[in-house]
Amino acid sequence: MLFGHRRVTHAKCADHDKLSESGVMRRLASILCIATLSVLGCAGNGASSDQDSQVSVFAASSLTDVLNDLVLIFEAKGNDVVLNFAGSSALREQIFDGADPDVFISANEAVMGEVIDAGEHFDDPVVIAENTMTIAVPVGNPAAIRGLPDFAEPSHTLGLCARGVPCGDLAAEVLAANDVVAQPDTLEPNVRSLLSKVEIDELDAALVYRTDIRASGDVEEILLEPGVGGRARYLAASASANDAASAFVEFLTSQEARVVLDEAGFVSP
Amino acid sequence: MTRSTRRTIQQRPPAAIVVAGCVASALFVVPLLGLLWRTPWSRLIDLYTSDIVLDAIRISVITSIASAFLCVVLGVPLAWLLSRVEFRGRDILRALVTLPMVLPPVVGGAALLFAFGRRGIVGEPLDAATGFVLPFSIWAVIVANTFVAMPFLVVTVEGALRSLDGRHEAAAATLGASQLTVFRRIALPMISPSLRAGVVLAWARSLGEFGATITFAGSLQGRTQSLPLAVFVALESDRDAAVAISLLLVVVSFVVLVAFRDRWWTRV
Repeated sequence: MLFGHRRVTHAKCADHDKLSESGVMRRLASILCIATLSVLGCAGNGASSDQDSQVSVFAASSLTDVLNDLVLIFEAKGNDVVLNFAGSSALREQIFDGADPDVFISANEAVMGEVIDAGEHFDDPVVIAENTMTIAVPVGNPAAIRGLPDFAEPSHTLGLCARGVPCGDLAAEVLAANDVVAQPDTLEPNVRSLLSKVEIDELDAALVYRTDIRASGDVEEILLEPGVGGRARYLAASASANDAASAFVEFLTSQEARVVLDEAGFVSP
Repeated sequence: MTRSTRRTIQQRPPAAIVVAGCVASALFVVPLLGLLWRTPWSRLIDLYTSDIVLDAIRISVITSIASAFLCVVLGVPLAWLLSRVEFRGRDILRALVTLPMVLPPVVGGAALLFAFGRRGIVGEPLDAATGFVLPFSIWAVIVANTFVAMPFLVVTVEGALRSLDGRHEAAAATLGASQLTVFRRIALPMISPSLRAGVVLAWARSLGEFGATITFAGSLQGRTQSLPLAVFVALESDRDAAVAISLLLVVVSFVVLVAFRDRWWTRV
């Protein structure tokens, strides 16, 4: 396209004097410039596809590993799935910004509620899995962490997820419900960066999801005392009147999917 | 001088170059417009006076100035060594020094953690001897900032030292001045525009530092959470706040770069 325009310019300007040639070129340049700007401006909205054969799924990043496994099973049945992982609230922002996924899976009930309330066209969400909070400690538990009250101990080096991140919101909820005033040394923006600091023994303990520990491997798990709470529910909603999308959500609640979810550390609803 | 001025007026730039230049400019300008477009103007004062932002401003001011200071105190001698002393492995050292400029800052942060963390090769003996643990403290933010910012100062100053006309230094040396005196009284004043440009660059880089800091120092309001970290955390919870802090960073960096660049760079 650029090339074509340039040829036209030369043809048009062949008989003109220098001054008007430059005028045309300048005008053309500014038109092209505006065209470029509008192309750049529109480029952000191509994330989803309306084709029935392809299901675009926006899912909470804590589901990354397990959903990749599940999609392989689902795709064997015929439909293609395109996955987009991010924090639930980041996905909400993408949806509000015009992204149009066929399926939205949130790790946070409030976030799902906001998306539904904003008039985005989804069917009623269903619970596909539950996850529980647990304590991650370095191998060997060098600081001898025993339970939730240890998080109020200033001499320990402790980490939590930041507020606004699902693991951070749930951790704050659990700590508050048990009257533990946490003394964290860092509030990490995501669970990966939090766990990696536990893995190399720079943090004595961190509150994370059980499934994160299953995925990590290089940390040990201290189970929370029974009755302290800390359950998160994953909700999936399919776009209204979208058969492939509702088939995918149905698959996620099937016995077949449940086995995979259980293996990854999720709890069946 | 006059001739070249007249030439700029007479000849129009080729359209193809103008178009490419426009696209290049758009890449920088459009995101800024996006930021301005999303700026919550009516909430701006409230956001800037919130505890989170005020704490982040304090941490950013302290750490960026401290690391700019460290860059000068440590970086200028290093630049002098690289430009004036022949030693084995100088080229390798020069490459190592500039490595943080091209490395993803997160990698730098992880490397710092492996070195100065409480289980790091330097950090563990340091902890055992003094009980001082660097990560998750404001010192870790300063170290991370210095790590990513110092190359900018070293490169700028070393370049200036290398392109310096050696005759002045040679003359001073023949008159009996020591190497230190020559450096202090001759070289340093002559490269001062580059030095100041290097300081501003290093300071601006350290003000915007994110990846190495979050990896090495973590993020805690009032202790290690600088403005870029506050932006990242706010993106998850309060996007208005994130945009407001971003705008602050953009405006401050822009003003500083425009003011100092025009004053110093063009006269080097």
